[in-house]
Amino acid sequence: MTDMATEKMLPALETRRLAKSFTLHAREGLRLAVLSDIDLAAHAGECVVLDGPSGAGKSTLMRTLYGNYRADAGAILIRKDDTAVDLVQATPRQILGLRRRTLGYISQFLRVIPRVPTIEIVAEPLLALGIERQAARSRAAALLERLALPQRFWDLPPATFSGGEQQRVNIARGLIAGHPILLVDEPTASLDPANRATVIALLAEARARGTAIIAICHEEATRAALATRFYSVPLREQAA
Amino acid sequence: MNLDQPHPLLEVRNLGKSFGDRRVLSDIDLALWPGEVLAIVGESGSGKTTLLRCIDGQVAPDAGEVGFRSRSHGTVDLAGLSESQRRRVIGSDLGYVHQNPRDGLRLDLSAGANIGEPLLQAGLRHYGRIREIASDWLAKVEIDPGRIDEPPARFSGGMQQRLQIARNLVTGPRLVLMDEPTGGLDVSVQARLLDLLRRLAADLDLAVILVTHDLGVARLLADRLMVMQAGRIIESGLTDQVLDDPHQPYTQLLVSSVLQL
Repeated sequence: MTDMATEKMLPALETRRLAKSFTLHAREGLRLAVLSDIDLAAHAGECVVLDGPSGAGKSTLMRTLYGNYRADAGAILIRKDDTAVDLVQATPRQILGLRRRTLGYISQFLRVIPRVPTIEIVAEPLLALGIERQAARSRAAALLERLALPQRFWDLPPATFSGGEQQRVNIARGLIAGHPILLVDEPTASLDPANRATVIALLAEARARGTAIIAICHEEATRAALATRFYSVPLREQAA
Repeated sequence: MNLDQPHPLLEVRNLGKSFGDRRVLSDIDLALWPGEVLAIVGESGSGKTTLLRCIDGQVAPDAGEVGFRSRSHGTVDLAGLSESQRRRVIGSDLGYVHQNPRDGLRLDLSAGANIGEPLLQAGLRHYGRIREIASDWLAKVEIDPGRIDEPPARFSGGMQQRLQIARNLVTGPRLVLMDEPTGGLDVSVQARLLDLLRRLAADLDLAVILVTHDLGVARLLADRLMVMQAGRIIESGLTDQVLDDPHQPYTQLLVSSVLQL
């Protein structure tokens, strides 16, 4: 029981005084300090929805948490087994390892790989974990079916799909590996009500399994359905 | 790519090279692990191709080491080896794909013989078996095996490039150096080649160093990205980090000059 208690206390993801700025060399080195002193924690089973007006730095925070943007200062502690890895200090290979097993990201838009069929795009994160192709494909098929993507589309590359269809492919790909931490950016933005309900249900199921979720979401009903807690991105300092 | 590999396959340390009084490479450090794809981008004349040639042994560096973990001899410094020592140590562990397929193919031989020749050099003697392997490889690189006896001069540029890739991969190298492999091809042919390279690198757990000026190609294929300017590595990281959050002035210019990535 003590083990479970400690587990509950250790956040799945925690930032300490995280800061991120951008220096624009084409504008005489203009420096934009977008994030500073961010202290955010997400525990297993929580869904923290980021709050703040447009331009507050919510997307910048998400990308920094994923290691896509490189933090200037502070720490991003990712719990992995019994230890915490600091993403800010991690090598590129360590970050790849974290992204493969621990830290998932569902972005707003699908980055399409030419010629690769939808079902392969969805199954790929499982293949990278060494799961056998047939098992990976059937798991992908189950998710695509749940997300109501017609089976006749599965063997086509998603380049010509509608925005909503691409988003569902993206969500299936993001959920398939069962990462213990999920970063989710506007997961339901271009979905109809039925599909939106499916995505909300899938994220709730992930949370019930102990996934820690951090989300950006503007739409009021979805925010209410997803969030167990809100985090206000602190007001940034002005460009310095 | 298996991320649990403890040792890099290739470790370049402090590499330098001048041509006359022109410094073309300075203080180059890089490590590459088995199965990893590294893209090198930078403007013409930044030293990308010279770096590849130094690793491949076509050009002798003035300074530094090219440490390579060979299957048979442990870690060796390739920079210090003669051609014959090199061949003995690395055998068929290393391949090189030229931008112009004509530089990497034997135009006087048939397509099948272009794939079979490296096998002969590696000691395979059974003619029927060699032909069988060549035919399999033609299919793998999406060339009709029925054209096995045709000379590559009759092939399109895209087919020639795929044939060159088959010739390089048939002996099972662990590291392949590629200099602008999609450079001279139409966009549609490029997409096909990129998809093929992506699958082959993953299926064969191949480490690749890819020199390119096309950031889209780097985005699709590479795990990591290095930016070179004036013979130096000015920025490196995961491909998405460097392209989405470039730090150096030159990298920002490079990324902002692309219409859409």
